[in-house]
Amino acid sequence: MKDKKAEFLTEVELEFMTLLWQLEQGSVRDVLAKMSPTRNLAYTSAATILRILEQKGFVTSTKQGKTFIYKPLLEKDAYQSRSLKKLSENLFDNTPSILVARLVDDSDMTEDALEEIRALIEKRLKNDTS
Amino acid sequence: MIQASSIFNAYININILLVVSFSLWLIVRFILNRSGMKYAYSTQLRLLNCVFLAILFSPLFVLGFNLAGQYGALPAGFSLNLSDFVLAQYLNGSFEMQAVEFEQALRLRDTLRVNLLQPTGWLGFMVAALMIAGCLGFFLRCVIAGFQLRNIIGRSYPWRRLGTLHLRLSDTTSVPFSARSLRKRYIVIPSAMLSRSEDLKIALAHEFQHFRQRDVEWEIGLELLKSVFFWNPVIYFWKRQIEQLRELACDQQVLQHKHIGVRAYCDCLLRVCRDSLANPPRDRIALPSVALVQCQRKIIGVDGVRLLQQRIESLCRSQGEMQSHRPKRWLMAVLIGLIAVSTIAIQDQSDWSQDRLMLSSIVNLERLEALNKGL
Repeated sequence: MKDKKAEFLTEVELEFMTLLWQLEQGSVRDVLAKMSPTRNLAYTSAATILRILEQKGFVTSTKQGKTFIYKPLLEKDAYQSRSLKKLSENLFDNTPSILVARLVDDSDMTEDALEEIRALIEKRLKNDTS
Repeated sequence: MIQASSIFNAYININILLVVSFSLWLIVRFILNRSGMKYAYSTQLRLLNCVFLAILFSPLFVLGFNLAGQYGALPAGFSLNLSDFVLAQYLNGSFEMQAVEFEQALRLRDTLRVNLLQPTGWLGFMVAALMIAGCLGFFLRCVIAGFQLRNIIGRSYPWRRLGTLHLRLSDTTSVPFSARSLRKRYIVIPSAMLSRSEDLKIALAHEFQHFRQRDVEWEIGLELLKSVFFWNPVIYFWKRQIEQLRELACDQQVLQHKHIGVRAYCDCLLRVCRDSLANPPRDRIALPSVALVQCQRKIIGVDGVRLLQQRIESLCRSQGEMQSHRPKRWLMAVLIGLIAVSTIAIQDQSDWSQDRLMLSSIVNLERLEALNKGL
């Protein structure tokens, strides 16, 4: 079957990938077990979503006995960066500072969170100068 | 030129038949609505499709009538021709009109044929060019829509296969739809729907029903015919009627046979419509496919929002009145009979009958009189 590479995940796929990132690897049953009991997703539907994720190149599978074990090919950090880059391009005129400014302006941001951001920026600046 | 002339004649006849048959259909629908069959959508859809097939096969009625005349199955001098009938009425004095004007009205089809097939003036050329450009334009639109549909299906992911029916999942569409190629049939479901099992069940049941009703084939056929009869408004009204009836019939059949609640069904339609409005399709060309729900507002064709409203109202109202109506064969036979008679009646009359010779003489006398007056 011809693989169709995609850059971004749909909402359901992101839900599955988040669970796989937590599990590091797992079968369809493992992923379903990690879901909320109210989710009520059929086994076949979950298997199909994982198979599509494999076709898109987000996960890889190995067969263990009769079960397929799925493992993320893309790290969570890498996908976060990719998504932020797209968000910056589409919504913030490709200017990350506006994105950060909007984030910092958010009234829900706690003092601790702001301090954490300041520390991260200072660390990055120190690394760049050294 | 004889061949072109025959084709043009057939083209004009089918256009007239479309108008006559659609008027007949409106009368039949009015009667059905008032005889307890208002919600018998499947029966109505079958009748409408049957009328359309009768129009397409109308040349066979003419052939049969001509053969019956040749082999003596009809009384000598028997004619069903409308122009012969009107001419006889004119000569009997049933209505008054200048003979020259009456002859011009009778020869309108000939005048049109000569002006379009052998255009001499700029107006004739313009009309002929517009007709050809319109046909080509609409056909091109069909081809582009076909390629777009192929791309959407190509970008989707195989899910299951049942013989020639391929179930596929797509990230690029938010509305489930059915389509087909020459050999394969497709049902494309938005991949996000996999996580909503009730909606998935409803969408699949709905699309399977469309294949049972052969709606996809009708949709492709009508889209192609639209490019040939693009200037005739009746083809748009016809398509709109078929689109409405096929969705209403499909909803009704799914609810009757699949044990799905009306509320769950309506909720699913509204959810899909909401998803579609949140992610509007990038391509504006109508694809030759049959979707679960249409949410686009259109000036020409079915207004998706109004149709959705109509479907939900119909589902709620028709619950108590759902009955399985078998297609009324006698009604079908009457409709086909009327179309056959209309087909024969509108044929071009090229023979010189006594009445036509009489009319020609009157016209010549009127002209002579006019000349004498001028002298």
